[in-house]
Amino acid sequence: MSRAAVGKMPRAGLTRVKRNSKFSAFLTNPKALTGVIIFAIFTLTAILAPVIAPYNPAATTFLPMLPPSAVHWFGTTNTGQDIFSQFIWGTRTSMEVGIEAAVISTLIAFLIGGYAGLMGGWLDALLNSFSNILLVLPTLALLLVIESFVHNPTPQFNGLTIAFTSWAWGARVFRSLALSLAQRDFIVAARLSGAGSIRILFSEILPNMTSVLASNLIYSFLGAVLFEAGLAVLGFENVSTYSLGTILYWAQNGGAMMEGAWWWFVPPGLAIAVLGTSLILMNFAIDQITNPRLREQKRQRKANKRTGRDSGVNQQPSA
Amino acid sequence: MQSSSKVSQLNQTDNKLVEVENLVVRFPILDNGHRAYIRPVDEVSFTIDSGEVLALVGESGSGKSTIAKALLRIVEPQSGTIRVQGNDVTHWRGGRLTTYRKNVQMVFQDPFGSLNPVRTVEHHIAYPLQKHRHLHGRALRDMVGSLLERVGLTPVEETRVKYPHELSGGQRQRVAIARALAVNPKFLVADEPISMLDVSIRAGILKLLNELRSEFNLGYLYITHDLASARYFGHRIMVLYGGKVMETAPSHELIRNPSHPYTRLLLAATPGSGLDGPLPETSNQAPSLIEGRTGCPFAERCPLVVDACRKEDPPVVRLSEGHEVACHVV
Repeated sequence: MSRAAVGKMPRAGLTRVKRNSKFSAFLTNPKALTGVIIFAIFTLTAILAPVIAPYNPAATTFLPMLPPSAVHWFGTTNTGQDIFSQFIWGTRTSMEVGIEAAVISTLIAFLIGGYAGLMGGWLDALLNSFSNILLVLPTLALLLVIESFVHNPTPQFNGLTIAFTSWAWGARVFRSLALSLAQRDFIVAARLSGAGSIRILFSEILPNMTSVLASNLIYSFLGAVLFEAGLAVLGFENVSTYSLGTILYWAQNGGAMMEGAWWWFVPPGLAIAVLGTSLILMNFAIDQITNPRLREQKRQRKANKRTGRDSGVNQQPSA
Repeated sequence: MQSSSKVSQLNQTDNKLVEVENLVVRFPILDNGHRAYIRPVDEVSFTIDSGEVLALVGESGSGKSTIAKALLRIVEPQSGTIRVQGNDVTHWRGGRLTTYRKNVQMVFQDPFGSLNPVRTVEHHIAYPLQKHRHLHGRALRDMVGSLLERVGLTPVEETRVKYPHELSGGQRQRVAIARALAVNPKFLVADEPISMLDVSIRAGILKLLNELRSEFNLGYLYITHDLASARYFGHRIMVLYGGKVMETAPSHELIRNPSHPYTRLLLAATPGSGLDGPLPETSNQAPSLIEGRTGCPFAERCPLVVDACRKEDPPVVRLSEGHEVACHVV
């Protein structure tokens, strides 16, 4: 083996370890792993809905108000629909809305916040006050006002309105990050190389924000799922579509509470809660991996534990 | 404005690369709730020829970096003119500014901050080549390779895929130099390019900059607070204090025959100056940069101060060919 090759090997090895470490840290983190597994189950359910759902969710061919059984896992509604089929299709809708709203709102947030932070000056003042205004408006009230103008909105349309009303927090975060990056020399150097603002935003600033971007995606996903369910329960969604929210809407209208038909409202409610938990868990993990201060605490705790045990065994104080 | 620049274009001698006249940069500050201005650069004039190195020396806050930023049009000059190759670029914008920056590039002080941590070496150098020289594919790869080789980053194939955190400070600075060279500039601003590097590799970087100077006939504005490197690398030295030029002279003349009290103070503060005892100054207060201040900014610290120093701007005295000093008592 030539000398150059020998010189090259350990370096390349080091690099690989370093680059993998973030990814493997994410998967060995128990919180993240739990979150990822739960989220994967939901994603699979959404993708495979036509395969998993045993019946047509709209078919009213069964006996009404059947409790859970081997035939109807989650029982039936007061009009004789299979709730498990509705649940599977509803999960698909909710996931769709979540992804749609998360992507769109993160994109808006990044464009507005990132551009404002990069450019500074009056443009920053203008865009920032715009996001501040949106920030102080109560989102649910705003959504209700918008929805009241629309006849029978589809879940997808609701996802869109949620995206357009909930990007402001993200914009604030992206703005403050872009503000601090914009002063760095490599941004000035990129400008001197002839790069325009949009190129700097996407090519120089965006790759420095990936963890915040991921965390913003996750949070807006969660927010969108919750808002969409809320709107549906309140009746601001086409009730002939199936989402976790519309199932709850029909459960309420069909008297599930009065009849004691817990199988009708518990599964969709629980699904929303579990999905939310998985997203929060993943976000915690991202936070822990990318925020050195949180990592430091953990390391310190471990170190304390170790020294505590050591001092029990070994009484000699180290110099 | 247009016609006057044309007239002066005719008047100038032909090999002046950069001409700066009465450059003023000011920044707004809040002074007891009132808006006031400071002038970190106050009526500074200088010229740089092709292939010449002008070393700009001064302590922190003397306006060295602000002059650099004004030259690159990162900060907007308040008044004065910057002419590069006869073009008045002081207020160019948009497309013309991009064209201008093809000719003028910068090497930054901090090699850790001047490279994007999530981008490879190749990315940093390839972009200006794509943008300004419209290179693609194989030609682009080859050009990046030859630039890396020129700045001494070999083996090239190994270097180009590396990230900044995998390089040492000196290697990063070489990447920054390669990036600046990529657009084929006529003029380089080097803002303390060696001050954050290990002492052992400083000479290597200066040597590289010097080779590039003679190879591409580059003009340099070399900013430093280190007189030794200014003397080694600069053809002429310009001493700055409180935003004003104190003394300009050919390097050896300035070191051998310092005339301004501030230059003498700087030389006395250099290790190995032979001075034993306290420095020849009366205070070590930072100069006032506030707009509307009168007199010499160095008056508060000057051991030779006379009444006129606090009232009137000192006249520029020409001592010999190329040696000018702004002082009342010289």
